[in-house]
Amino acid sequence: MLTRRQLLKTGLAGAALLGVARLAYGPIVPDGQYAVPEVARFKVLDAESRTALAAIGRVMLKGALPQGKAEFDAALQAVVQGCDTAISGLPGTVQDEVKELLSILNGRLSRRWLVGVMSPWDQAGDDEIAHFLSRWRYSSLSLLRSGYQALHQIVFAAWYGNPQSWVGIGYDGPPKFMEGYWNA
Amino acid sequence: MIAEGLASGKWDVRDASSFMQPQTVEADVAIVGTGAGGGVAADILSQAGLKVVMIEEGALRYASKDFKLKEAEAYPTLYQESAGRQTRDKGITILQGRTVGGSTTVNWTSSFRTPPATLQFWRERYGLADMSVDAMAPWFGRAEKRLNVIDWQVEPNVNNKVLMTGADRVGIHWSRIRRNVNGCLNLGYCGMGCPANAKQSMLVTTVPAALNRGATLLTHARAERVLLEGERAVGVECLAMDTAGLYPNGIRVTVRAKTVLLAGGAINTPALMLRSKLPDPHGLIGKRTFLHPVNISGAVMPFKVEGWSGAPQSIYSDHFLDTQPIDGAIGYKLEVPPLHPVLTAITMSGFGEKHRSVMARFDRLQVVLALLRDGFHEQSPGGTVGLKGDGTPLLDYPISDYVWQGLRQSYLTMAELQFAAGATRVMPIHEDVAADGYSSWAEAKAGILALPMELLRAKIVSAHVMGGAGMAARPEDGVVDGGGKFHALDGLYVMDGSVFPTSIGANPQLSVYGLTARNASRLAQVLTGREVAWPA
Repeated sequence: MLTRRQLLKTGLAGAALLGVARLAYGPIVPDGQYAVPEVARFKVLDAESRTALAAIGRVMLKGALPQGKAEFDAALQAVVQGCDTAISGLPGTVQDEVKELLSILNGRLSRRWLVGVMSPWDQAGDDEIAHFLSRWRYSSLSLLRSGYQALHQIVFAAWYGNPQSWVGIGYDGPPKFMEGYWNA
Repeated sequence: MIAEGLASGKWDVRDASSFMQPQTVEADVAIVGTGAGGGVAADILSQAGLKVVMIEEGALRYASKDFKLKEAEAYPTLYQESAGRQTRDKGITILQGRTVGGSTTVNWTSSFRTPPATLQFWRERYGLADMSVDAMAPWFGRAEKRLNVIDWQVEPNVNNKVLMTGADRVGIHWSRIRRNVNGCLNLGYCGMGCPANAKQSMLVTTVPAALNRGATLLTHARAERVLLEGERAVGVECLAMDTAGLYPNGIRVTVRAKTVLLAGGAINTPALMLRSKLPDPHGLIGKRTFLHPVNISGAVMPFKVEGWSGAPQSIYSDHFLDTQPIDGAIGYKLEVPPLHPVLTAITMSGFGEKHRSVMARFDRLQVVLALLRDGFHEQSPGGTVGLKGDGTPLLDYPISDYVWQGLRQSYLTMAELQFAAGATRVMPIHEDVAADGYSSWAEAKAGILALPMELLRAKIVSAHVMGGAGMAARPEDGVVDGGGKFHALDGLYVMDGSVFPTSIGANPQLSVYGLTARNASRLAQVLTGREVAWPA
């Protein structure tokens, strides 16, 4: 997975570049945040990361989430919650790498320059996000490919680990008769 | 079974996550790890009357009722790094168990003896003169008896049947896989822990047997370093972990023992040796770590496959191992994996509507995998285990052109076979293949020949980790001798997949069982003068 240190080594996002970008784009104002209701406590994801993952999840899972507005929002929220659970279950060093990746997605400058998403995550369109994912997926830099693969794993594990997703894929879940075993 | 043992009051099981102050435990033998190597060694050494302490980083799960067959629960609790352990460059994802019973608690039960060609290679290249088929046969036989390795008579599930049909139609030979099960319900959820206690993993066989004989089991204890006094290993220092097994909780546990036996698996064992700064005059610790790199081919069938149901692996083909020289082009074994939603979704490439359309046909998906036999050719030196800044292991496994060629070749084989078995679409799992794959063998052939064989484009996984503390008669050629004894110090043994000087070329569990049975019996003889008849 991508770490900032590795990234700096590639010379792609050197401090100078970020400095120039900062001048070009003026003072940093915080991006807006996608409204992910905080019904449950998140273990590792801050508001910015939840916003980014909700936007990325929405695009990665296009067509897979339920259609109605309320159901869609609830399912997307469950995905973000699932990402939080998945990341929090990783060992420390791996968790740190994922957090580095998230900070690259969230940094206003790195989001523009490296991720290639100009709008804040809560305003970015599906096409813009899909374009970013494809760019990383096929990047000549294996670091960016690994960043894409990390997002792919986390988002799809978060959704398809949720029994709600099984309805759409013809999977009934673990055999019902085993419940007798567990409850015996 | 586990619940009964604990309730009996006879078992000495200590959960280090609950420790409030440093502890010291005394034993004749400290065993790090409770998987295929550690479990068998604990069984045999306790049978010889030795006081054994088993050290396990994961938790003790009650065999039946803790296994709820949900991936979201199983992966974080039963696997190393939530089933997402990766090589240094993230190019290969590794499935490896981390729970009492180790990988044997979550593996798919496939049981093969070490292939004769592999043994021959070890005899010739590593001076392991006594590792002949005849000499090893009784040990495999004992392991098969103890762990109920049987011919599986039940009809293969459709996923496996496609491999069988396809192989017949392209004219390659196949066979049935033997399984270590007793009373198997043919559920198909082996990878999430057997809820019926049917899989004869270490969790329900050797570990309970050792506990019944007075062994101690420490759970949530990470072996940090081997303790030395002069030229001898005298114990293991462990870190107690939190209940999730992610972070040390600050408490140290010291196990003092006359003999130390490492069985943490081929990534954790070499890492522990490196952390312990053991003498390594020839720089071999952590080197030659093998994975059986695996690539995957999906297919959409015109009939229901439901690959989540039924024994996960029951058919295999060794055609591409048997028909070419072991040190020629890399050979591969063909098998199928079980299909469950999370594992499938994270494996299938792409995203959005295209990914969705593949998942929409989840019940018709058939998947074949090719398991590459690494370690027999000079361009297949395997990987190297090193340490991250926090002392945890990191495996660097660069993929050579030689291995890439084998991966391309096996994509071809799998696609041809799947079309022959009736597939309407075949999708080699590679980012540059469209989500709906190819519609004919001719199209697939042309497509696969043009695929860029690159890291993080071709999806490569592994569930078999071997080597890193390889055995050889001479200290210049290996870390341990043929009996598993560390060449450079006394009182230290390795008995797990780390000792294999190459990959096995087959699912390694029975190879670990058989070799460990032999070496643990030899060790018991040295330590106690007693012959141990195993199985008990």
